[in-house]
Amino acid sequence: MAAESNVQEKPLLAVRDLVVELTRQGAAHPVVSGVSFDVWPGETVCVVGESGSGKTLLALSLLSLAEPPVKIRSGQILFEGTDTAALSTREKQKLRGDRIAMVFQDPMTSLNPVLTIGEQIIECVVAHQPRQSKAFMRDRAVELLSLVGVPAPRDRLSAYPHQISGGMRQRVLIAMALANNPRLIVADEPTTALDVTVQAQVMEAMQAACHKTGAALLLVTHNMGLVAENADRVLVFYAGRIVEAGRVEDVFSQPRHPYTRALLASIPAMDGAPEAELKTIEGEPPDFASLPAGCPFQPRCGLARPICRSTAPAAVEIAPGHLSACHFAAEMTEQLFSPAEVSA
Amino acid sequence: MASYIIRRILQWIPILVLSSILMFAVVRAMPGDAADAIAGPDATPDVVAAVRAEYGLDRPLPVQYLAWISHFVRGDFGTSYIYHTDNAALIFSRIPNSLLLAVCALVLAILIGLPAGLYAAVRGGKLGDLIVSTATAAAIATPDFWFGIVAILLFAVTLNWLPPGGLISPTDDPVQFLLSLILPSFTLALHGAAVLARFTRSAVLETLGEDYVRTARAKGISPFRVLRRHVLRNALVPIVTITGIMLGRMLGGAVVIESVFAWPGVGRLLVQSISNRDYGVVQAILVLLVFFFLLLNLVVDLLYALIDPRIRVGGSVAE
Amino acid sequence: MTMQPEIAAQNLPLRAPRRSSALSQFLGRPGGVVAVVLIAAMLAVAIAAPWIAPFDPNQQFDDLQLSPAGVAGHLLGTDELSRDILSRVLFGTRVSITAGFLSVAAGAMIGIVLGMLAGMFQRLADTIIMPVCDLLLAMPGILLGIVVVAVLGSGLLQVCIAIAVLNVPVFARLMRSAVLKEKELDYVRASIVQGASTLRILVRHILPNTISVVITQLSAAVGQAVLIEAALSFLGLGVQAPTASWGSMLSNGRDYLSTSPFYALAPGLMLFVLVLGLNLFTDALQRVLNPTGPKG
Repeated sequence: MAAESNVQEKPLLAVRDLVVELTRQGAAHPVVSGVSFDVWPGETVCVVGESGSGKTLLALSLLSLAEPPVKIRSGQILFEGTDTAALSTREKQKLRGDRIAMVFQDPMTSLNPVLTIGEQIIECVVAHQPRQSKAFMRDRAVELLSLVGVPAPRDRLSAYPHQISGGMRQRVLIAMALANNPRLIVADEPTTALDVTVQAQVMEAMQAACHKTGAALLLVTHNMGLVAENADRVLVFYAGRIVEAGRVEDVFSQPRHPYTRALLASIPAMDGAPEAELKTIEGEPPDFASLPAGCPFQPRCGLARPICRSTAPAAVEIAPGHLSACHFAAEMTEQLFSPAEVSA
Repeated sequence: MASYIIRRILQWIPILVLSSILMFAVVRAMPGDAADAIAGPDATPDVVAAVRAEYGLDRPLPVQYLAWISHFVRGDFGTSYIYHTDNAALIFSRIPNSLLLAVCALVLAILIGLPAGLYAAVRGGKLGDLIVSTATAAAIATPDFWFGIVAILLFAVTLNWLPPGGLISPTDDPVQFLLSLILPSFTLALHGAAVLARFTRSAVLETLGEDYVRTARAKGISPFRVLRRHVLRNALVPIVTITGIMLGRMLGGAVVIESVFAWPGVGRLLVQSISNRDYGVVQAILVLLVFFFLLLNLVVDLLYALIDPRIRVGGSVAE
Repeated sequence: MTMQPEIAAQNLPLRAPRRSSALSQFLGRPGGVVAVVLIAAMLAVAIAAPWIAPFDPNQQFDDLQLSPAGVAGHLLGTDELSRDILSRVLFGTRVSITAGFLSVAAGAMIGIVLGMLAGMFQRLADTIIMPVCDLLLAMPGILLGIVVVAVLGSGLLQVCIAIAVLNVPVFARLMRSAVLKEKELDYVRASIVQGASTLRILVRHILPNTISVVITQLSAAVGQAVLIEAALSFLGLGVQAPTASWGSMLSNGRDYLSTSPFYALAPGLMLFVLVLGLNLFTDALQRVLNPTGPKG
């Protein structure tokens, strides 16, 4: 799916040197610092990182949903060639839910408890196609629900969120995101709150729906298995920066950053010996109020050397389309996983 | 919904029975014999004895209770020895006046408190929020009866714009009737408006932080629509409850405010009757008030279910 | 405004407030300081009334009925029985403080015990205690106060009993739900399983953990109680003559509004200051002790 879309010349979304700050007790701390990446039409890009690495704030910033105390300090978010920062509040609002849509993490709290499923889906359509008839809206809502695999969709329109299961609610949230055929869907941990068995079904429904509508998907997650199964490309996020980026095959088979290696090593292998020790990442996730000097990962890095403590590494293209922000990226050449292994 | 209403009403009945037993105990505990109370202090011993026999007060307590409650259920509240009238007629002639005052005050409280609280919440932390918060803190600390006295001093005694008290009949003089409502209504609305403003503020602030509000904003609907459809609708659930409770508080507060403005309501009648030791009137008013407040609580519960679908239709898909 | 506070808490942990910082947090906002100053001033006036009042509050000065402010050393003038208004206002503080603090304390104690019993022995609670509490709570406080005074007669003691009575269900209900919540917590369940006595669980685990809710409610209840005492006395059902109470002074003073405005204004102002102090105190407590709880 990626191959065909990458042929097109212009990226759908281009993020350039984005800096997002969080103000706390009078001091501003960068939670996203100097992030640049592209999303091409129709492809699936995963942003992966530990909780608290700033990936949710990045996702909210893309939809201009970041509100004080969070603020976009500098950089550009170009969507279909337009800088969203230059848009008026009204124009941003027109973009949201129409060209870019978002699927949130918690299906239990992300739906309004006092409105029916139908009212909440139709609301998305009305916001961007106000002149359509009531019957059209209803049919559209039914169509959307069946698109994401909700059984008996017409009957569900009058149900309240508390009357359906968590997996169904997440499907409803996805249906709402798809309402106006968006070009880009930003999904923030869309399956984290669900049972493992339901996770796969929901992910499958979302992928199928994106494929059908041709929408690109930016999937924010901490689940490497999800990345292996769904992503065309992956962005590894640490302390508000992209430390490694590339096609999923390249990153998984030949990770060029110690953090990515650690993440991959912490996945329990299905075919491994049951008594094999599960590796964890030493140390704690970084605290944005007191980031270390040099490379943000150096306090937890087994390969750290003096240069890591003094100089922050810049992202360099180590192979075609494969970036790493590590001083020793060139030295890490051994194969670690094949993606097939991880997703097995 | 219908089954919910029936269930709530069935739960309500035992409370009503319990409260009537409690009221009976209170009435028995009042100074003087119950028969004396009903007959009045001027009654001759023969009359008191007749009352005692009629009401079954010489019989065992459970029988007395049944006799007492059956009189009340039939609307027989005895006779006032001060007013020499039927207690039921006396009280029911005052009830509309009290309700008029309480409802006017409630409407004022909602008209002032709801927008003020909403404004403060939307302005969260800015100057407008600070002004509303300060004003409500001051209003809640102000004794309302004192506020009423100061208002009389200012608007009636000094400026002579409004009547200092009393209720002018709307058929006599519609303009004076409306003018006579102004000071008592505003005085009674003082605490209600402030409490409602604070409550609305915190309910709206809490709702603004909900995930579904963020979802709504991500849909690209206008901020006004987000506020009206998603924030207010949900914040309204606790607000309606407190408004119901507030109507009760208004009637409680009316007891005092009616005395400030010489308003011919039930509250003033109650206070005067206690001072006059007209216990027949007192017990009749108390029983009616308790009944009224229990009814009010029931209505609030039902209203609550009307707004919040989670309450009325349990967890099942069936509706 | 939505996700951000959560993220912020994750990334920039604010250490849990210690005891000392709770105090500094309390005094950190202007409301907390103002509250402490106002309440301390009122307590000082109540205690020192005999020394700071210029005259005996019940002393009658012949030929000085309703004299205007400032005449013959009567700073706020005299009332219709030619008593010094300022002295009566100062002594009135004692009535309000007594009715506010002592009766709430009494009512709260009974309510807390009942609530704990109701929380531990649910059968008893559901059949007797809670229905009665619900019933009492259905009535506005002032009406309940009037009912009690109607039964017992008027006077300071009776008013105090009335205020205590109307606070019992408030604290019983609060305590019961707190106990029920605590009982579900793992460490309390563990003690129950280990066979600790009910009393021990109550005293060692549940009471210390519910104390902050109780303190906040106490503070709120005192403000209410002061207003209810004043209202009952204003209606002539509370503190009786010749004892000086702000409520009864207001009631008498309103007949002389145009000639002696201080007669009604001064006690009202005192009431306002005391209740404002108590309410600000409650708000500040609420912020420090139950930061997530509802703010009325």
